Amino acid sequence: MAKRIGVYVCHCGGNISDTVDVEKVVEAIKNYPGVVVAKHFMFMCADAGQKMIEEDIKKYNLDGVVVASCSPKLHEMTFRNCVARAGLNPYLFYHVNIREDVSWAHSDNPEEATKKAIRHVKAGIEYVRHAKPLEKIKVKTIPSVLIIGGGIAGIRAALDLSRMGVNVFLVEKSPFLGGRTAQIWKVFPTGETGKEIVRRLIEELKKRDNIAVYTNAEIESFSGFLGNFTVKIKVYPRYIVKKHPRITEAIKKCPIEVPNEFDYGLTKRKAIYIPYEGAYPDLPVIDMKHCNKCGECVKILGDAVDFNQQPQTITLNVGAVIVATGFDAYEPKEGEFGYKKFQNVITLPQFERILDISNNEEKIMFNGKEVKSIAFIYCVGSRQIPTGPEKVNEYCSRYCCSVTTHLNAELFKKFKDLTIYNIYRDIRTYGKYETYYEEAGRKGAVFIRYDPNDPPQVCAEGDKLLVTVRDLLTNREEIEIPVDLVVLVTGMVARENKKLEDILKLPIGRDGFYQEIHPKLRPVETNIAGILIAGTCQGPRNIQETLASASAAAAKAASIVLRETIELEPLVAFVDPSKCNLSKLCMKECPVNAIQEKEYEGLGVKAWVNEALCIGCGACVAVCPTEAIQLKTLSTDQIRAMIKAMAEEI
Amino acid sequence: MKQANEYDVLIIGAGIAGIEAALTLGDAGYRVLLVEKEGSIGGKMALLSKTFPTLDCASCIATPKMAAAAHHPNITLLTYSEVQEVVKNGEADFSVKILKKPRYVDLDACTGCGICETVCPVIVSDEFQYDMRGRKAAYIPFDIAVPKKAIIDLDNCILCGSCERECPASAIDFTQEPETLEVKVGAIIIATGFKLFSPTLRPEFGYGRCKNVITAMQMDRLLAPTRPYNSVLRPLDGKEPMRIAYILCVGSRDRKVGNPYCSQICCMYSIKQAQLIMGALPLADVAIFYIDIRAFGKGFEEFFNQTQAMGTMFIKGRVIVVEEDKEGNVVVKYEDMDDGGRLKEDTFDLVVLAVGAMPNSDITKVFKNVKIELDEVGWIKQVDPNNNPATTSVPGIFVAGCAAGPKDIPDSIVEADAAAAQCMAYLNEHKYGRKR
Amino acid sequence: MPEEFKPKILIFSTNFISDLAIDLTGLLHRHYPVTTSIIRIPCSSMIRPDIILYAFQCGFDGVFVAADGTDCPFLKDCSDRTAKRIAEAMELLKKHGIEPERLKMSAICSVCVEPFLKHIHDLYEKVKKLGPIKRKPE
Repeated sequence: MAKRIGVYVCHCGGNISDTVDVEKVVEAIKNYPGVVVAKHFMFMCADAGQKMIEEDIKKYNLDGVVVASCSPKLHEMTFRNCVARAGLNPYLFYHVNIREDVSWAHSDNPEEATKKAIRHVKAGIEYVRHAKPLEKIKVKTIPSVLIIGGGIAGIRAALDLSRMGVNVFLVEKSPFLGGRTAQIWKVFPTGETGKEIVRRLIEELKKRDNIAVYTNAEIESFSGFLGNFTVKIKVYPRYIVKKHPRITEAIKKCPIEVPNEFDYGLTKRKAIYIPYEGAYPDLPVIDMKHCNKCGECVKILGDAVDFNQQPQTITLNVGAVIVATGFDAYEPKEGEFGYKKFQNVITLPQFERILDISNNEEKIMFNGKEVKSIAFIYCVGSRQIPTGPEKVNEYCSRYCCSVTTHLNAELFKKFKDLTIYNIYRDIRTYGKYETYYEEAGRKGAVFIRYDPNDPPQVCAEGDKLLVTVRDLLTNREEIEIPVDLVVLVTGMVARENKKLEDILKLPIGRDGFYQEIHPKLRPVETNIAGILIAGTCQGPRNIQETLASASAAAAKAASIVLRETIELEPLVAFVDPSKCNLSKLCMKECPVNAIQEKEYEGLGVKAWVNEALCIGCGACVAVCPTEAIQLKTLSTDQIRAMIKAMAEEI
Repeated sequence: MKQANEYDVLIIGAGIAGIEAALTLGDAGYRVLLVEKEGSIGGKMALLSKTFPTLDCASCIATPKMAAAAHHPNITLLTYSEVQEVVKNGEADFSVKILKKPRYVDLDACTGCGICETVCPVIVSDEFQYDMRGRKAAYIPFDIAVPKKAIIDLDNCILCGSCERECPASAIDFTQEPETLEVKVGAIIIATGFKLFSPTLRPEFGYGRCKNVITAMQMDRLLAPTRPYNSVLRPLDGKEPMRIAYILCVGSRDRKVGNPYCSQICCMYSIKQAQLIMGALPLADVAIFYIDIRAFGKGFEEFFNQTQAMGTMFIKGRVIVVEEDKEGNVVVKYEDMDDGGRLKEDTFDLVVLAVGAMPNSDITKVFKNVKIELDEVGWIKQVDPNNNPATTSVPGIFVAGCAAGPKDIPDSIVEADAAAAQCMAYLNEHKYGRKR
Repeated sequence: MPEEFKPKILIFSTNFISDLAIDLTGLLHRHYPVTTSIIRIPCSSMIRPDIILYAFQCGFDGVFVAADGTDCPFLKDCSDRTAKRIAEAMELLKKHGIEPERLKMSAICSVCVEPFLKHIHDLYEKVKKLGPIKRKPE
């Protein structure tokens, strides 16, 4: 039992000390059993605070340290490392939260808050008194990374890791790589087409010999731990098993025509298809949902077609996983700004497809008519105002203002005599993108600001549309704008991906996008060690930002797998064989089958925990009749001692 | 300190981006030389109060990273040092000269006790408090400085010798000379951050002319836990301001001052400050004059909505001019866009200018035989933004954080990790050829 | 005038989920009864029924288990497992003459500030009405 404990209470520059009387806290615990030194300080986490603790550990020969400061989510590791530097086992340390849990939550009652802080600190001391030194678990890492999602984020991360010498498995659900970027007509700031961006990435990808690409593939199961995951993927049949010189002819011959999802149904594709020229892999796929097995393609392609191809399950071992599954475009409700009610109300992604498909035309054609006037309505599906219990998208989709104002400028460049109205709430062309807003305005685009509580109305007038809106910039004057086309600037929404989320147990934030541990401390890591997130699955972003986050995730994955062994926290269960009566209840309770029987010398067969498998949930602890199984980092004795200390009157 | 003369990566600038890149590279086993021209690492973030949209305190995020960088076995830190010359000899081969400015304090001996500061008789303006308070000629840069060590500012020192006599660690050493280090590195990350727009370039907003007009950076200091005074006070008479106005886009979105870009952070930091002011001065009213509120990042819009609900006034309008009245209050004349652009005026106790971010790219001049391209405003140019945003015009030299353009802390950190990834890939291709 | 009864509530929070919500509650400066104490555990499914009884025996008037719900990074069915333990604990409490209503479990997601506040206030008020435990001699 620790007998020489140091206790350090942080002011957090007033965040704590404005409410909690830190001196009183120190006074109250300095004579507590086991405590030999107790101090308070402005910023424990600062270098000087950490130095003070290190020096005290040596000076007083401390065998336990308690720091009472902010949430352990912020600084537990900071102080663990700090005590380790001074030569103390880092698990003889406890982090007490007296900021979020005390000073901030009870700023209305300083006196009682101080008492609560004292209770919490005493419990922390008890934890340390009963703590045992622990060693980290060393795990050999597998030098491969699995990337889920073959859009630009997944490809960028794959390229970066590959160049670092790391093997990559790139798994894409759809039959082709490239994701949504390929659908974009022109991308700022370079003016390249989306396909061009994808093509350049694919060209690099083709040169790499340590990236294995699986398209038409899904994650089936997932197990293991940081550094050593086992993932089963299921690769669905393509039914085209090899290249053939007459592919184009075979596609032409296919009698089935269905809407091409790549073009949001604006064009048709065959049952055997490549969604666009240059798509990768350059091998078509047969869409079995629609194929009637007429055999026309087989006549041309022969054994390149294999209708008997079966799904294949492949097991991959990887050290880290990057999730880059992207976003869904917001689909407006029927009637939202006339969507689906009027044919010439379309979404921004659909408009991008129209422009891309008719890239060589001199006019914008829609439904056989020339489009000479366009109204963009902004913030459709974003910045929604909650009105009832129904969940709305309160967030801003970030990319749309820059994209649309850039699109304004590009449209003016390409098409003559075009009238463009931008019906917006705030133009959020942050940073350098401001120049697109400026350029759009300079070239004659009209900007009209609407009140979200009095949104524009869209109705038909002849073969035109009439947008009625009150302009906040001209004293809420009601104006009527006749246009040929209304484009709804739709935002990004979290992608439907329940199966994957369930398998990986991905953390999801309030907007439905995947949640990082902390936006500033660990922006691409999740609370599952070894699973990283990149690109728009984390939240709306533009292409440049997506690529940066992909590289960032690659860097973090590299820092796991570039080392041959990594160290894991000893957050695992262990069995005291002398107490175990082999009830086997723990084995039944364990969700990951980490507990097995083992022969102990002199004690016979008892339960035993495989630390590499144990996830440290403690479910076994709750069912053991003899308290033989315990978590290393939090024993039942520790919990009891903490409860007792917290229950005492101050 | 023992200094090697070869490193994998040189990082220029130890703000939050430089620190993050260093930590990621260090964790992956690369040897990093992190060079900072100021006496402490941490950059601008270390001086901020809290950060949007989560309101966690800036020091709480920055200090652990600062401490981790200082203690990392793979990171060598050079503070108060400037990169003077870089020559590219070939791929993954750069020769670098670094000037170590004399601190006149022995870094190993100094304990950061602050006695020299106490005994020093010279008071000058404190640049880390944005001139709202004095510091001594012998000083520790700021409360959470890393390393927390003193510097003697010889330009202002009167050589009285008090510090030398009183230093309990005998750390003061007036014989120190500037020293030039020559090192070889394999790759370089430029993370020199940004400069704040100088508000005197827009004289109509009254900075310097009206006493109670301050910059938002000054307000952030007033709100920070390591603040100059114990409250938010206005400069003229030390009164607690009850009516505070923010003018957004000062020096941003403004071709007149050569900066057509939006500074990307000002809307959100002003909104954040409005929330903090409501905490610090519960009776104060805050009005924000804006053009567009750009709450675009994760959780920003919700934070903006929350601030509106808490009572901050948002007025869409261009401020024409501000004047000082007899009491030293500030009269703001503006066009109210929500009222058809009508000219109005209102009087405030304090006006805060949301000054924009400007390029800080002078470092490119030290590159001798390669040219690092800048964009039209002078930020480091990202030459292939839609393929590999961390690359500059020179292979092997990468850019992270605000050096490439204004951005917030989360974006800076992500970009820093992206630059780290590019260094690892580049070094592996040109130096190590490793396969794991 | 007799001093107002302010029940002492023990809260079990989980490191990765519900403690985040409690952190967030503090971050937003939202208030809840100050006579609470919080112990962080990895997953709510590790709570032993006898530990809950022990808390009451030590002098707590109420216990709130902020469980992980479906967000649990460890177990998908952690709520069900925890619920079993809680049911066992309630039986145990009854045996010892302690009203089982003093024990409350609810899943609190990592951003569930409002639900946390509601549950903790509700439990506090309920226990306040029940008054101090009429303890049976052990």
